[in-house]
Amino acid sequence: MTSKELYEITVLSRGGQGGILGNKLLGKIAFVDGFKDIIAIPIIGAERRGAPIRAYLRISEQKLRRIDAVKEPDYYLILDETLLSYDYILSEIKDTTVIINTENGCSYKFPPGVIAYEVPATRIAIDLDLEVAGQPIVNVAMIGAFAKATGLIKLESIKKVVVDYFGAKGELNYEASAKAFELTREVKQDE
Amino acid sequence: MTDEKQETLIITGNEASAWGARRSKAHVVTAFPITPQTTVMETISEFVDSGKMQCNFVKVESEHSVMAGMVGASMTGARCFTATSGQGLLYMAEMVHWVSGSRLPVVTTIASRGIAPPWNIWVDYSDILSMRDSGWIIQFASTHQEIFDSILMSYKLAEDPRVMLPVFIAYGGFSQSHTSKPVVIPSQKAVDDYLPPVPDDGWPHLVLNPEKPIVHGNLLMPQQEYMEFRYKMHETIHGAKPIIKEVIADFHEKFGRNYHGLIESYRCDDAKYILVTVGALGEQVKDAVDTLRSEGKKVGSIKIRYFRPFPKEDLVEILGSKNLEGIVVVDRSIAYGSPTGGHISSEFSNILSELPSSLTYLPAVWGLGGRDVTVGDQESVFNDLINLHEENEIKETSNSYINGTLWVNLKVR
Repeated sequence: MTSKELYEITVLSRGGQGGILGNKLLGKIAFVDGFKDIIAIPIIGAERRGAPIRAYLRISEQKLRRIDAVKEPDYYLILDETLLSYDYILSEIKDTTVIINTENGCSYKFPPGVIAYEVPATRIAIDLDLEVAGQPIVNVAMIGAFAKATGLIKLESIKKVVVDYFGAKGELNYEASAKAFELTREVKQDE
Repeated sequence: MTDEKQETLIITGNEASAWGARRSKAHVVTAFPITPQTTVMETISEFVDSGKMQCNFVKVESEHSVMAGMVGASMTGARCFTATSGQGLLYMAEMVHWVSGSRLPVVTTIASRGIAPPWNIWVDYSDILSMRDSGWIIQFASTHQEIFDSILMSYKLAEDPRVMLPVFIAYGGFSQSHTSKPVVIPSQKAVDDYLPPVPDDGWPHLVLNPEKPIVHGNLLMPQQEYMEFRYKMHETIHGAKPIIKEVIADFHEKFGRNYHGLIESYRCDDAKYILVTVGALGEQVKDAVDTLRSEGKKVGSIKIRYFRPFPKEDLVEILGSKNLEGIVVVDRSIAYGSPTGGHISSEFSNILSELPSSLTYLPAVWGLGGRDVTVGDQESVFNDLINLHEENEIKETSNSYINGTLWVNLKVR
């Protein structure tokens, strides 16, 4: 853990993937792990399945007063790599760390200064039958990837929170996050 | 989560509102869903369904009936709670007056949203401020914890025989209703020790009881007491100011959280420039104050917590400081055709007459319909005020200074 007092995160997902819930759960986990304050900010409109969805999270060692949108996140959690096909999304990613759900290697290039991690979260969800209405749910797997990439939260805190939240399905979700923790790897960007 | 011990939960502002109703042991909740209030009622409905909250949860067909239900239930001496937003509040407007006119201690939370058309569901206080003159006490909650705590304090205040008036607690739609933060939920016993049960035999002035029939709300001729009833409500709402402070002090002693009074000031002691606003942006602006202070600018902020009764004396006490050179009052609501365009900045005219005429006064409007207001935007408002005071003009910024009012990030002109 570094000495930074405030971490800002942007979660990008598509409607139905569990991005908003995953953002809130990540906040809960950070709080359980000893951060003093958190705020999870879902950006909600008239969403529908498949639409690009955005959620912000601040986790802090100090009391948080801010409710405004996160503009320059320390971390991006990207639940669907095809969101990067939108220029307005790809172009906002600079001087940050991205954690991307991709199975065969991310095909989008980031500018120098971006650190990228990859995790096959969809594959993990399918292998574990972690699906709702036929759609793989990747949110908790991505939290496992976040734990590995950042070192800010512990796997046992993920377990505590997801088992408490999901009940019977909690163990399966935790398994997905543990698998993601194992498979998350940093990808060297071509300079 | 049990009722026996205190716990910190990561919950939304709406869930904090539902927890406030549960810990206050509301007897009757009337419900009609409207975005962004809906999850208040969903959460209470889950509490009732699982047997964790004992209350009459009444699903009705409209917001008009929601508040009509509150009138009938509260007249029997029950503790009553409901919640709404935007258009829903407008639809229940007639019954809002029936509650206050009958002097019934109902508590209602408002997840404020913009008023249609065009449709808008995000934070904007034009809904609650359209109830400005309804005879309800109107409070703004600026944090998730304050939403929960305010419900407990509001019942204590509303049910005080010296008050007997309803309370609205407003907070931002989505910006507070759907964001999640840690909230301390005290044990049921701790709340019971603070908030006593309602009287067994109903309110002191009015109780519906089939054994003792009465007539209520009948026609008063012009020479009868209509005017006196109206005066009494005005007198009572003003007279509630010291009682509000008592309730806050009592809460502070019991729970250790201090809500200061009708207003909360931040770094105002030696401030030359003060920003006044309401709600969560009044909490966030403290970060802008800290940044500007670190640059050597003597700024401070005031959060208005109670808009009715209007905290004139408390504001004059702070704003009358010799050091002060400029004030900016910022509304997140629009009052069409008013002197400034904003409800609170227009209301300030009766305060300015008691302050030195050398002060620079800047009314401003920000964040209508949920438009994001960043800490940087808030700093820009302070800088515009300083600019106006020192140079008598506002140099080019992203804000528009039109006919004496500053419109933050307005995209016209």
